[in-house]
Amino acid sequence: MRFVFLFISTLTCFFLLGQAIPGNSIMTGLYGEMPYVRDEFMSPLNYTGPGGGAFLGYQYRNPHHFVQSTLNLGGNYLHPAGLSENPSRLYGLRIKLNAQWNRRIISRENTLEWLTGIGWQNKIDFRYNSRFSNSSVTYDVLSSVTWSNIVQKQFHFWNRHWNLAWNSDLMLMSVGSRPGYSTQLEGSIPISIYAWNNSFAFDNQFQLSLLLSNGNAVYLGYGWETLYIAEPQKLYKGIHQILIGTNFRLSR
Amino acid sequence: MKKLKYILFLFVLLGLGSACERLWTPESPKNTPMDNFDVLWNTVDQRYSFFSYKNIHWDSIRHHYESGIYEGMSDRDLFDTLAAMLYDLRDGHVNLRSSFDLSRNWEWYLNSPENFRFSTVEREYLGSDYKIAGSLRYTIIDSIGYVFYGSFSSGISKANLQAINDYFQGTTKAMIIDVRGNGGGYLNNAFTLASWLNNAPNIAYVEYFKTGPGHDDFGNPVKYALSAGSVYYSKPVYILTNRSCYSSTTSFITMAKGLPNVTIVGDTTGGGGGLPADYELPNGWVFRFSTTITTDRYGFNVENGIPPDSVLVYPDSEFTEIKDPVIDEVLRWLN
Repeated sequence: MRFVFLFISTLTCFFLLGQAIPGNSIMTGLYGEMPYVRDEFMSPLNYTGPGGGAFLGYQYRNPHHFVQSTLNLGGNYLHPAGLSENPSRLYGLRIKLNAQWNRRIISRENTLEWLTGIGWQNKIDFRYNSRFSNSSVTYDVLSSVTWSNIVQKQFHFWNRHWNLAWNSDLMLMSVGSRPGYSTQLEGSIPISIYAWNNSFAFDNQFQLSLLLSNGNAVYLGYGWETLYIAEPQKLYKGIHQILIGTNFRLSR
Repeated sequence: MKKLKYILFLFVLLGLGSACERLWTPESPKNTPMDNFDVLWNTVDQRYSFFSYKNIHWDSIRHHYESGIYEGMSDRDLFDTLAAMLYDLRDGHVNLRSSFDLSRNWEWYLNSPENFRFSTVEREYLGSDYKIAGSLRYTIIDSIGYVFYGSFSSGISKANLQAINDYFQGTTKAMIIDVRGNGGGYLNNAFTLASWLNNAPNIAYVEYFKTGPGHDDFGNPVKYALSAGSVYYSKPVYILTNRSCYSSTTSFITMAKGLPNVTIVGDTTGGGGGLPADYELPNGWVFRFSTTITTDRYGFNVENGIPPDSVLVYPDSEFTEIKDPVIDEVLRWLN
């Protein structure tokens, strides 16, 4: 039953992308990432390494509201940071499913906007250590309610229309699972409530979009994700990402 | 408006601060002998499951071995010291693994009679014309079905069990399952084999998971179900065991013991009732340790082995090239 709950909860998810394009649009893109992870279920060491993935999403924008849902799928390959003699390697799989709704609260001259709202963020991260014989998989699964904010400004430069956006997503409360003191997936799966007393999650992204004449857009983004979980086994995770993407307008 | 801008400014600051994960992530421990010692000792201290059951004083063990740790000691000396400390846990699921050695405590079977000789079983009892279904070797000896299973790491399926059932149908009056020397493997194979002997829903075993860093921090018991086998052998079953029956093999015996048609014969199993977990040291060595406690459906802790219903233990000298006294004795009972 717990697995069913976790699975269903991850079927709806989001990614932060402020956009100026009105109407319905589909977005796609690719990203490269550099995680920095310390998962004390399997190791006292900090791991880092390259990763990447792709995302697909839908968004709707009118003068007052912004709605978006996104699916991200990616992987990474990590090694102990600064300990070259350690032969361990982690193979990571990351899935994110997001949904968010934002309402505009500040608008100045129709070019600078602040939208704020609520998000539902679902993340699944698996990490596999090939040198382990028993507890070779560790994970963090979170379904979170977040405070979502977008600040964006349109401007004209080189005879083109641009949009610069800063998007953020601060976790308010989560239901999640981490391996405990025993093995990882056997027996009872520990389900915990996470809030600011035992965790912290904050995702940010800067995004520069070039608005095209046909209503589409291409964009370049830089983002970072922060996650700390205090129990049952501590997890520290910082992920830096560079992404490129496109928005295809479906209708106004 | 001014207030909103102030909030936004703080929010931006928080966002930018969170980008520097190396500031708020603790540094990795250094790869020094003492740091490696500390990681191993602390991890075992918080997560090992049998301190109370085995009456192990882990603090005293630290004091004993800590004095042997010094800066500049060789890898082999460090390995030997850490291995000696882990040896005191008296647990076959505890190992330290490096590129040059694997530490272990195998006293649980080395200090006991072997009570088994595989070459005799293979050449004299299975013979040259036995059948193999999956990883199960089987034949019929004097109207008694005989099945040998060497490792729970090797897969078995219901189709394999059905094939053996069909072969034994009408021609056998009982069956011997020989798991002597079987050191364990995958639990799902233990469930498959045990369900073959079970015709009603039952409790397989009970597991206690560690839920905190204290030596006695365990959660509520988790009962695992043993389903009635869709393939079922309905006649008497004798399961042969020795001290080498460890881990998943002990789990199989845990499930099978007490079932209506089943009799366990031989020596006490080796035990190994804790599900192991791995961890690593800053220098790259990996160690594993037990993290749960398993009892049978009646509450008996199986860590040190499960006694047989009928003890049949013989000195090694009685196992010859043509004679296995355990099998012979069971065949004599049945005929």
